[in-house]
Amino acid sequence: MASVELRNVWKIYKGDVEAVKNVSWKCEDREFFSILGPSGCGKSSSLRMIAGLEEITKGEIIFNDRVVNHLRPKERNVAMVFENWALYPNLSVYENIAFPLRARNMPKNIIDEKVKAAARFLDLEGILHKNAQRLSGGEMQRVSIGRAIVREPDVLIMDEPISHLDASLRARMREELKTQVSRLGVTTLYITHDQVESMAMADRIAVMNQGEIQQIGTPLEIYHHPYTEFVAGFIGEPPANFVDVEVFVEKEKHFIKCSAFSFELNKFWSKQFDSKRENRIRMGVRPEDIGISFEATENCCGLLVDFVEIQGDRTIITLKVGDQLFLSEVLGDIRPETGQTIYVKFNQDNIHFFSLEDGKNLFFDAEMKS
Amino acid sequence: MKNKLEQISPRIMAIPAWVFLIFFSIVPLIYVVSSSLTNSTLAQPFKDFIWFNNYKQAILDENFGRSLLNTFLFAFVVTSLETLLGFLLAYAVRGIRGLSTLLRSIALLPMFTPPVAVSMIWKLIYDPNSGLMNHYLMQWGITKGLIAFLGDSKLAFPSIMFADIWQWTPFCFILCYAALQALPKAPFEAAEVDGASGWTVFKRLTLPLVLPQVIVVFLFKLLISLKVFDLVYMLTFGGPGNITQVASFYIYRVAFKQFNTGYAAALSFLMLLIITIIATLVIKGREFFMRRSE
Repeated sequence: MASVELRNVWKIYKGDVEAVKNVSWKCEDREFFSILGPSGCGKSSSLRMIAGLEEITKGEIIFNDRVVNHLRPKERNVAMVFENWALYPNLSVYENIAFPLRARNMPKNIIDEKVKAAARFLDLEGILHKNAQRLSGGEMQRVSIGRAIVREPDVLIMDEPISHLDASLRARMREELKTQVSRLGVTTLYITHDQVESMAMADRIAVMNQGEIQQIGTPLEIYHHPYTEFVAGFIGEPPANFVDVEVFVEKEKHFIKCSAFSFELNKFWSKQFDSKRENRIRMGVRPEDIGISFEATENCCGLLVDFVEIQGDRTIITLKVGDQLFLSEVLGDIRPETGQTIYVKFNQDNIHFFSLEDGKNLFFDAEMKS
Repeated sequence: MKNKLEQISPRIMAIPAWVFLIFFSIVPLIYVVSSSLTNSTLAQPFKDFIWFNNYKQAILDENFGRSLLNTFLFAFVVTSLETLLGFLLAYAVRGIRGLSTLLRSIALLPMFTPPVAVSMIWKLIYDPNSGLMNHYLMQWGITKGLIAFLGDSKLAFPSIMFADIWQWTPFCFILCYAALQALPKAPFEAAEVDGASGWTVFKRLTLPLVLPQVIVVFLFKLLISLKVFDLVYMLTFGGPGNITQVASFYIYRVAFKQFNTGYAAALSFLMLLIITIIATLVIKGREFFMRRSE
């Protein structure tokens, strides 16, 4: 078992492509740590450096207290579940799982024991002698996990292991993966572009974009207190809404104003804006934090309904906010008409304000404290 | 209207290919088969219909039998060596990045050279009096006296084979190189993480994955080798005696030295049958291998 730490790690490819820029984080022993980000954000480069498949341009990678920069993959005792699984296509399931053990020249009877144990664990006993090319997606995935865990690695790295499965299988596999990995109690690095997978499985998530770490935190921290506008927009489905607003003070009360609406801020936000004088900022709000009613109430804003998407359990309403569109998610029995004006109230406990310059959450520390 | 045109147009576009095939393959084939049933000579095509007499004669023809054996010996030896060498070379340089374009261009040079030119060069190299081969062998102290490579009954065939290997190994190299490059990367990375040694990876992954393609390379080159003519014609003219007489060369002799075109046609058709059988066997062998490896 091992902890994994990246210290100021850079990956610069030929032609000055900066894939990973000065990334630092630490995944504790036995932690399920997820790296989340859109494609091309540097998450795969990070993991390939950790596995030893890619050289580290700058910085250090540390397992426990040992710098592993110059160790070859096989000396690091990491196991990897690849995107597309990368099974050995010419070998049987049994031989695929036995491969890492044979590479270590283990005695035959021990190999047999371990392979059978792994097969039992992953429910692969019935297909041990099937050729790897003839498996279904779910089976391939389990074989690749079997191959990874059979040699009891210090670190288990998974690179988009279920992204290529169809939606229903993916949901089941999420659950299964999480159960299996927690039973093993191994340090796990899980790379994905799917925020649902990260949210559902990880102890902590590192959100990456364009080679940089955006935020590291538990799933709930990241969801409720995004450190940057990118995180707020990337996590959550449907995505959060953003609009540029102005803050103004009138009769010692703070108001938010944009071309389409204005409303009064609550005490918490008033206090924040008292200490931090920012005028032009960007407001972010999640669809489920936009409450609607058909009649005007105090401190609400009237908005025009642009489109209504009925999903049964919930209704997603597209609202016109100036020349922008906002998504609001409400319960399924609320079904306004297109073209109707409805009255909107933002849940001020869950709105965020970002700097127009660097996209950072202006009041992140205050949010975390509250 | 448009639909009909769409239906017909693929066939229209295939016409040039058909014309080509008819005039350059089908018509000649019919011509050969029909003249093989006659007593044709170069001057009198389709003289006397004699049914299968030419074939009866061919089966009893000792010269033809020996030239066939020579052909097979030549084809299997050079093809095996060329495929093996080509594969080993390709495997050795597979990891060198940026080299592939340069290597491909260099490797193609012997194949760009016209066979006659290649043969001429080798004839000069092998020359017993002024050839480079003798020069260097003696300079390096490997041999003491001059050797007539192409005139010696033991050395003539190996000398031709050596020239063929020089000319055709690059062909096998390029095809094997392409096959190696086309292998999926991921299983090899997995093997690296799994801690497999280079030899294990080669034995358990590379070779089984690439072998079906290598067999195709072998088959291609085998079919090319079975037709060998230019090297024999230029280097030894079948000699000394008829030691290096291969089937195509024997057929050439029958047709253009003895002017017995009817008989030559029968021999050609027999060659075609034999090559087809060999090719089918190799293909079946490959299929069997692939099914077993699944």
